[in-house]
Amino acid sequence: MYKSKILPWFFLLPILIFVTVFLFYPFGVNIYNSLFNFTSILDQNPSFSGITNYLNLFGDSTFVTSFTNTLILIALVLIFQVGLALILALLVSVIDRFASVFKVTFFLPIVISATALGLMFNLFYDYDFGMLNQLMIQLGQEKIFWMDPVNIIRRFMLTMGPVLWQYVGFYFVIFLTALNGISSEINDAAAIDGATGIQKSLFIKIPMIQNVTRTVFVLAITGTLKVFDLPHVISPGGFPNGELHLLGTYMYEKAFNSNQLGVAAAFAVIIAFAGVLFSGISNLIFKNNEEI
Amino acid sequence: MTRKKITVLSIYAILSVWMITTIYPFIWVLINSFKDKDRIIVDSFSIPLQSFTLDNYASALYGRYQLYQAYLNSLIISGSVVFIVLLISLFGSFALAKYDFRGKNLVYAILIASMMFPIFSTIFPLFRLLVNLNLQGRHLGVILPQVAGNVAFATILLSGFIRSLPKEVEESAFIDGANIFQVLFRIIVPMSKSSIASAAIFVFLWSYNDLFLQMIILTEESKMPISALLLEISSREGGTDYGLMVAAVAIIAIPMIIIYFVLQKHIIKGLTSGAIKG
Repeated sequence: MYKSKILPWFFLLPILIFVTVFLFYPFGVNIYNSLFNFTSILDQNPSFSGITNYLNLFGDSTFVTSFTNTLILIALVLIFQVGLALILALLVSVIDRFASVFKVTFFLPIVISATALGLMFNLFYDYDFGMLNQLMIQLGQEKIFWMDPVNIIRRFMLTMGPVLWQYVGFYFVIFLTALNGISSEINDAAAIDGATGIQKSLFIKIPMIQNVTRTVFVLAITGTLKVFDLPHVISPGGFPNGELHLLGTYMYEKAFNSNQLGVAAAFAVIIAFAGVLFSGISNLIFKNNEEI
Repeated sequence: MTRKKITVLSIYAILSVWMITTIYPFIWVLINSFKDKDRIIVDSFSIPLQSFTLDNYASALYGRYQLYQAYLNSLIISGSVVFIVLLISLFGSFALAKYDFRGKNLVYAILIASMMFPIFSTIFPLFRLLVNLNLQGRHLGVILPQVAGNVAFATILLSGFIRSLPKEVEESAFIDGANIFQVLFRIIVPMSKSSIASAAIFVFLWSYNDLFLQMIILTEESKMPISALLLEISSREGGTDYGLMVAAVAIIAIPMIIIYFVLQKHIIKGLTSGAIKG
């Protein structure tokens, strides 16, 4: 029936052509480009510069800031976004009614484009007429300059908060699917032995979904390295002086506003490398845990 | 017993608080989009019963900016991406699910690797490639890279499903003299409808919501998709016209919200089975 050895390749050919031409080829060229000095984005005769671009980046204080910010964001994502998703999933897994209502509503922000969400949060944060300040007035309080560039920590949190908020529902659904897969016999046995809800969560459910947690960590880390849209809309250009840049937004600025294509290419290589490195570290941590 | 009730109630309370954070922002946008722009800035919490107006939508759709055109552009781009992805991933997933051939594991490895590339790591050579192919600034220049970015996910999703289908029906079809293409389009495709739907919605969602690639490739206003144009408008108007801004957000979000509520089962299933992509 399905004996042919050539037909499957023929069927797969279009896919392989697409990913080769538009993914693997540009990825390879990008690594090559990172070793050259470009004067514009379409510079035809770049000059070889070795690892200068990489050295330039590591000596650039805004790059260091954008890297640190991304690391902070990864930590926040793992603690608050993934943590909250796990707690919400544990709670939904024990209720009898409305579970699907929570599932559908928690997931909603993920289907909305980050551009729309960014514009929406800008309307919330606006000083003169924003939703938050209208709320402050109704509560009889003074208006607050939410996006005050001087208060850099608050501005960072208000820019990154929506990033955290948007994807909670995604990890929530993954956790919930895993929790619902735990056999009810195990739960019942624990209940008979007198385990409380919290004990069951800590000692049975969370350890049992460890493989899923590992996948979620990798997804969360690589996903955070790709964050661009929301910060680009809420605090464009790492406003005010690049203090709020993430790797993605700063790379964009380097390439399209300052035309340093070689540096931006080195930047892209570092982002891809960081993804592999961080996922590897996270896998390693979980692997060690498994042996305990 | 009462203690248990308190526990259950507090669980529902916590879940409801989070639910409010995920839906109230959209309700706020929606009610304000029907308010006069001078009302929004003083009273954004009330429901517009007396002062109901469609002015904001009118000024967003018929004003200086061609939002209609932008909608159409989004539809052309994302529709084409979905169509091409489905077509080629159907053949590919069929091959992976049904045939045994040398190099199959290599193909899987290639597909999984191609879900990992951040767009950042390919964008500059891609931009130059599109300029050389004379595709920069044209819809096809966004469509082709987006197909490449989504095809691996769709292929893996569909091949998993096709492999799980019972073999008996196809076998009897082959015995009756059907050829490979008849089996694929008359038997496999109808049986895989739900997975195909998941893949289609999911690819559409990614394509429609993408900003980075579309913003870089399509710089001409008449070619821009909806999200890029609205960002352009907001940066030009500087957020002075609240009515326009609220309507703009509603205009991008409403189609997705409708699609989501109609097809939420497929979407949630598709997104979690495509979890690898992130």
